[in-house]
Amino acid sequence: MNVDIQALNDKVQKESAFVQNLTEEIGKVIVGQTYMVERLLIGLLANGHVLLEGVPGLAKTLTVNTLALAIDTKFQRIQFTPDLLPADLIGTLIYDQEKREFTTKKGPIFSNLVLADEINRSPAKVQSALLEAMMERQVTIGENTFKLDDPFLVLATQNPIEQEGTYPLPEAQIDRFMLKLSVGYPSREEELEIMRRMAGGGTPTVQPVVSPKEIISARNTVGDIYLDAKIEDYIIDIVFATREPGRYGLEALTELISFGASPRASIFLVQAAKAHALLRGRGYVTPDDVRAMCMDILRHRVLLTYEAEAEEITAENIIQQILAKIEVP
Amino acid sequence: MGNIRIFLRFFDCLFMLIAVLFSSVFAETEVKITARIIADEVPLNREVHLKVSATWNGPANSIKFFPLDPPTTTNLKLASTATANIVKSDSGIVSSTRQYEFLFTGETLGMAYIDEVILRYHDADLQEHVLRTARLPLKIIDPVRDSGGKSIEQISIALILTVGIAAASFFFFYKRKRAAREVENATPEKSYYEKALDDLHNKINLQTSDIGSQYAEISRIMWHFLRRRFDLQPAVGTTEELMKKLEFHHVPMEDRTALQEMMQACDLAKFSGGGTDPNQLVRIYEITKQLVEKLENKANLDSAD
Repeated sequence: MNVDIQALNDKVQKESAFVQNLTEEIGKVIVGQTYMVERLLIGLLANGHVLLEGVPGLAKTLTVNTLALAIDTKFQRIQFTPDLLPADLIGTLIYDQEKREFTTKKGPIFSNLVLADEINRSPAKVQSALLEAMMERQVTIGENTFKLDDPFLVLATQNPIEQEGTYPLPEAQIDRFMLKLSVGYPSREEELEIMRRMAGGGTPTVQPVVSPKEIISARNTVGDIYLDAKIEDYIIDIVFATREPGRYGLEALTELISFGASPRASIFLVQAAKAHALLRGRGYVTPDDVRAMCMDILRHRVLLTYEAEAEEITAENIIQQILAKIEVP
Repeated sequence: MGNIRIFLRFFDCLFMLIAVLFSSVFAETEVKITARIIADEVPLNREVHLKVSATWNGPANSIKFFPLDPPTTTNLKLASTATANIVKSDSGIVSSTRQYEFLFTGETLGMAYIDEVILRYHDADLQEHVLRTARLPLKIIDPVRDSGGKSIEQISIALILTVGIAAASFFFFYKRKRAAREVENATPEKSYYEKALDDLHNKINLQTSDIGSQYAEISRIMWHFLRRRFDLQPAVGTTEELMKKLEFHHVPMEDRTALQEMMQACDLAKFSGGGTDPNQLVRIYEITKQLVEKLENKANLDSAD
């Protein structure tokens, strides 16, 4: 295949020029968390939703809010509670007594960036309503169907330490999130910087540095990024190794994996790797891009057996073994 | 008169002596005949073995036997006959045996009989003599399992095993001999550094039109060298991971920058679907060669310290 890689590289570098400015603008408010910021951008560019897992107080809400301001889009935060109803999420019909007709009141989901905080605290009915909107990118209220805004990104959070009284997302629903990020604590230096900024009072204002149109344009360019056959094979090998580890010389993992990653993993891995390549200013995907995204794509898709849990082996351990074994092209 | 009596008496003694001598030489030879069956109960599928032996003292040709007819039998069928002469000498006395063997097969179950064996012969005086044996009874019983087939089966198995063992031994010795020959002929193994330089020299063709493959080969050679030089784990597989690892190993910045340029050029060739610059190939080749030498020299210096 004859690819004008130079032209593609130029286009990518032009479309990704906003990334530097965006990162700097977000950096005015958020200290560190470069990993989370980059992954949120990848979710935005690859049109995939993100599941964030981290203890409270790690600036998850603040990061998403700042990102929304920097890309000049609407942001809504929804706190999921056990008494939340689907109508609280998507909207409902309200009877207007003056006009004597039902009018549609759209819910908070009608936004560009939606933060579904502690998604596992609401019952399955509410979770389904959200997940359905995520996949369809439209909502039906009464007899009318409403398309959601573009770009549309759902960032759902889960608290890993408080599991009492929660409604854990079933695996089939978790699979709909492109990325699952494990957000950690800031470093010592970062926390020192956070303290100094917050102690000073007042939060810096964030100016929009990129428009939603530019985001959409960059997203379209992601689709044009070149994916070599060797990289395709590499992705397939990694995903298949989660299903048939014995075939790849990983017999020890057979007893530890109950279910491997679905074909959705292959699709998302391609999209995320391309978005990663765009952020690096490249018009082609390298194994670096694939390996950089593997953990976030696969950690919530590789289901473990009781033996693995008993031995305290995590999905991350398994993915690391797979990456070490599968030969890089 | 007295002298004649003495003389006559002498001749009497002499004659008597001669007579005794002649009698010892020409005395009648005793021939003894025996008839024997090996077993008196013989399975139907086995042979009845009759041995008839005639023994005497003296040379074998001193007795002339008439041809011996097989004896009359009941419920038996003649299968084969055999004859043998056996001559033995024991303390100067010669004894001879004429042996006749008859093999019969039973016709039905039940009693069988071998009638008398009649043996005729001439002695040294050409006197004819006849010897007879008694009638011999025997019983034909139920047939037994044929051990002949089983032995054929055993022989076959033994043969196959022998051939198999022989083949395995031959293969083992041949392999050992070949390995020994290879060890003799083998040249000493090159170091990873020498191999890297050799591969760069022998495997890279800067004039080829298939530039992509040359970049891929340069990348492969360099990765192989770096894995051995820095003992890289399999988890390190990409350019970015490599750069982080080299920083950990305190590789100087300029070398890391050159290596990154080289690796990125190779990545471009391998994964961009044809984005290769033929002019850059020579430069990348030279960078690679210099890096290999530089990194190895640094390793030698570090180990000397």
